[in-house]
Amino acid sequence: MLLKDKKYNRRFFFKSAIAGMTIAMIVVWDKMLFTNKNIHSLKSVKLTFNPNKRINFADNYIIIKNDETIRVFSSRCTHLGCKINESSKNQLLCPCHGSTYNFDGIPTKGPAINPLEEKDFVIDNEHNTITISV
Amino acid sequence: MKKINDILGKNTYGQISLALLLICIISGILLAVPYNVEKPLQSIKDILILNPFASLIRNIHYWSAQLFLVFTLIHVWDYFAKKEKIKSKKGIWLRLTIGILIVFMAMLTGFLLQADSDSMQAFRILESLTLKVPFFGELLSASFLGEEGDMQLIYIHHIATLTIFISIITFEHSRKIWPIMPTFIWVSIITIIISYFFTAPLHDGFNPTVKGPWYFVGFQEILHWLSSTSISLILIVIFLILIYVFPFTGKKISFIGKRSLLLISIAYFILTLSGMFFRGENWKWIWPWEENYSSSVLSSYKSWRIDFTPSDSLASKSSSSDKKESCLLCHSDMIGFIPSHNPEATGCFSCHGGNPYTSNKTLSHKNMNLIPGNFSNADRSCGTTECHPAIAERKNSSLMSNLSGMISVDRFVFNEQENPDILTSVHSLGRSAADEHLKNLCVVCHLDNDKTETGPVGETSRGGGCLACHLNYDSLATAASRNHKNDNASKEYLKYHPSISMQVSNDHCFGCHSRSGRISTNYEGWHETTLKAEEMPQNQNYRLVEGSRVFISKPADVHHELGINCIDCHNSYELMGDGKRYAHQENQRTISCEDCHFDGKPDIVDAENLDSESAIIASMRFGNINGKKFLKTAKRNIPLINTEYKNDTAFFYGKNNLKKFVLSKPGTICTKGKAHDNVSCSACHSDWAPSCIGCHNEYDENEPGYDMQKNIEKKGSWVEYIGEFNAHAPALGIRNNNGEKEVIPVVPGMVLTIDVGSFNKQLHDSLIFQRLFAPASPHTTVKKGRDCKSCHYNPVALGYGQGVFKIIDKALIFNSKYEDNPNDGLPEDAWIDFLGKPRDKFATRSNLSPFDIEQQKNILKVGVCLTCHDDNSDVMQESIIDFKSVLQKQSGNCIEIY
Repeated sequence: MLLKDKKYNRRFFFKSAIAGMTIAMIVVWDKMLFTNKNIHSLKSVKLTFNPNKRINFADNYIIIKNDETIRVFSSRCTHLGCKINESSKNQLLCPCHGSTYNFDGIPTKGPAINPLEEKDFVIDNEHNTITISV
Repeated sequence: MKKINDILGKNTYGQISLALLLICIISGILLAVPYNVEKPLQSIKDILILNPFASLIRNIHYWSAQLFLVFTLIHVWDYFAKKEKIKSKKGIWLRLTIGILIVFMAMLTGFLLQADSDSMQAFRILESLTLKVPFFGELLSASFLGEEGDMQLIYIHHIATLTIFISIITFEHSRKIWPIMPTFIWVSIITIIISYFFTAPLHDGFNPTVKGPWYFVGFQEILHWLSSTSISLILIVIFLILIYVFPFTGKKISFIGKRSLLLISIAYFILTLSGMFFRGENWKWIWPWEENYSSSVLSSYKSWRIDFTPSDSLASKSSSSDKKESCLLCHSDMIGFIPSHNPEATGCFSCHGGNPYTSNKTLSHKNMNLIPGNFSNADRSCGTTECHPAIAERKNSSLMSNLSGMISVDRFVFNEQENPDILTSVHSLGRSAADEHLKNLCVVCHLDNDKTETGPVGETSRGGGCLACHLNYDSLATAASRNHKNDNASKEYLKYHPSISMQVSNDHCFGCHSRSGRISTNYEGWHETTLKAEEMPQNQNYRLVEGSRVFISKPADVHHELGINCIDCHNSYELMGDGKRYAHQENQRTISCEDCHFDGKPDIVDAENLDSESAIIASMRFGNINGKKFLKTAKRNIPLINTEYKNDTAFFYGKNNLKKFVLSKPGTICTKGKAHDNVSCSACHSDWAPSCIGCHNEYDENEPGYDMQKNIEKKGSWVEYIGEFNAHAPALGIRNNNGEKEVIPVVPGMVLTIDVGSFNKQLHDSLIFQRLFAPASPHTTVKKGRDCKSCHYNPVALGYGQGVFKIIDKALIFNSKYEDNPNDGLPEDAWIDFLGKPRDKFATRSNLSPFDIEQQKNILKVGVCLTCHDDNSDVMQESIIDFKSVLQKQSGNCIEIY
């Protein structure tokens, strides 16, 4: 009966079916990706670092020692994610677009406008390792 | 001709693009064999270094892709530019519009698959941009990019998803699979020729400049100016929408659209050029004439031709495939390196430059840096981000690099500036009389002066940047270097590399520091004479330096006798600078005698609180430092990494020879009473100091001269006519350290005349006379300090010059050894008149002065006592504690001259 209606013809049926399947596939795709991500994602990373060094660029993190205080930042520039891997004149330098940050992770020159993401961490002094929460 | 035109006539941009796509796909399939997605960068290096045929395929793949992009864009533009519109179906045009985006994505994934430092940063940018897509950002990122460092997904999309999509829409658009054969052939030939001559780029890993692929550099420039990067996504979408709607618009809108597109293209082209050629490290603007332009900009576009020459070394060294650089194919037998500089770990390129990816001898040595470590190239050798960037950044703050003190004092002596403490640099030398004097006679001794010849550091060595201190030739390397210089055919030197190490011997310092203050020679117990080489007596008491300077033996410094080297006291922050500028060497110096020879409890620093540089140096020199406690300097708290404080005892270690010493406390006399609290250790413990007086300086326009700044010979030079060299216990003066006065040794640094008129003819009869004393660190330390008379009853110590005191009718009289100088009426070697005041200009430092009249009287009061009472007599010993009460006990026999 429905198929006899001009509006709801065979073409409509196939179009709807394809659209439905596409949405279903996207949902499955989405679930698959994030299940996969959860399986392989890390809660924390353990890195060796030099506790005497004022700045350690370790993996994807920047460990900064200010007097007795240690702070850990993500090395991901808040502008477009470039890896910050250099410091000069008490500034962290982003090599891609020229943003700079001070050692508190605050941008001192654009284009970045947001501070670096700070991370929680635990230090093992005996083995000079640091465990950073991802 | 007609035939050629016929063929060329069929070569539409579309046809050329189709041919290039086919070449790109075929070469991509072939490239999949040597390319390893698990070790992408290493596999590309192997292709470049070891497999010229694979390298050609890679180049064909790269260039066909770049040309495909160019011709596709021209094809699109050509379509827009046609007057009559060729109507496309909306669905096909939509897919073609998306196809432009897909082509860029295919190109970008290819760029990412190189996995070099540019690619890794590009990955992060793409990921960031993708995540900003509303609703689907995370889904798209996870689906098309995957995890950072894992190339599998990108590789799949590059070779399959995107390629298939491009192929389908190309077929749907052109209804052709195969391009016209002649087009395909000549496009292939041109691509192969380009691919032979120009190798596809690969970031060398040391250039800190990060740039995307050429077609994205304009976009990188836009992103540099955009804080809100979501705008860039909107711009891309708008651009694609404009292209999509373009064929379906009216004539007027179409015309505006074309003009807008043209303007956008021109603007993007300009942005691309500026990004490619005027952006350097950290995306800073850089002009082509700036110092680092070549290394930070041009090296990004390094390209070379493929070398198919059969190489035996390639065949015989198949194991080389796990090595980083092609240099090691030929130079793997070289020995002499310390572990941290072993080329198996660091490669050769990081120091020497050149081209690490080609096995062709000429190409690999092109633009090579034979002597790395000179300050002119330190930013690209020792000081790269991967190696010692922090030191490279501060090296110019070292006085050995900028010579600020020397220059400032010389200008002050020439009356060209009002005080001797102005900060300046050797690079600021101009054309004044003082600056020319410096260029002719002095500034060869600065670290910025490049080392230009290979060979060990010796007496005549000057400059050389990092190498000035860290270059060490062992006996094999020295012999090989010497043999090569004598006989160019000798190639032994290719086997023996000098080491670049922390073993900085006194000989490294000797070349420069055997001059001027002559600290190196003093320390070793040699005093320069005015004898000529041919006049030198042939016995152990004499030494010839640099083949012409004759030195006579004097007592050496007690530290030298014990085997202590220069670097045992002078730390890296003094020598390589700490980033701050200092006017004079005593300001930059941090070490002082009391840091080691302390009374009571020392200031210490635990190993875990060492700064990084000190911790690294300490561990490399002395092994595990965990739990150790180190002494530190009172000035600026610099850790003395070759000390150890343990069980209330301080130990000192030789950095080079690892000799161990127990540090002794200062003598009882040093800490007894308060009379000598402000007397520096060196004032008493310096046995002798060299001094020269009566020097005359004149410019001779016919004298064969040398510009030490530019290292070129020239006609005309300042000439120094030396007077007399002496060696005796130094004079004493007062240094005012921000209100704290300290008695220190001084020497007649500048008792001289300068004929400025000989340099500047307009200044007639302009003879400058100076009587300036300078603070000295004689480095002639003796364990037993000067006796009391040596200071209190010694005209030299008080600044009167050599001579004798006499007491006649209870009056103290001074008879000088030297005659009065006609310029100021003072004895030649004096600083001040007997019980007199200094001239207006009297010292090479603003904070240095001779004793004032009251101080002179106080010193001499004790001196007169010493004419009867022995140093160790009760009365003199008591006077150290309370001189006033001693004076009250004077007998009638005592002489009271004031």
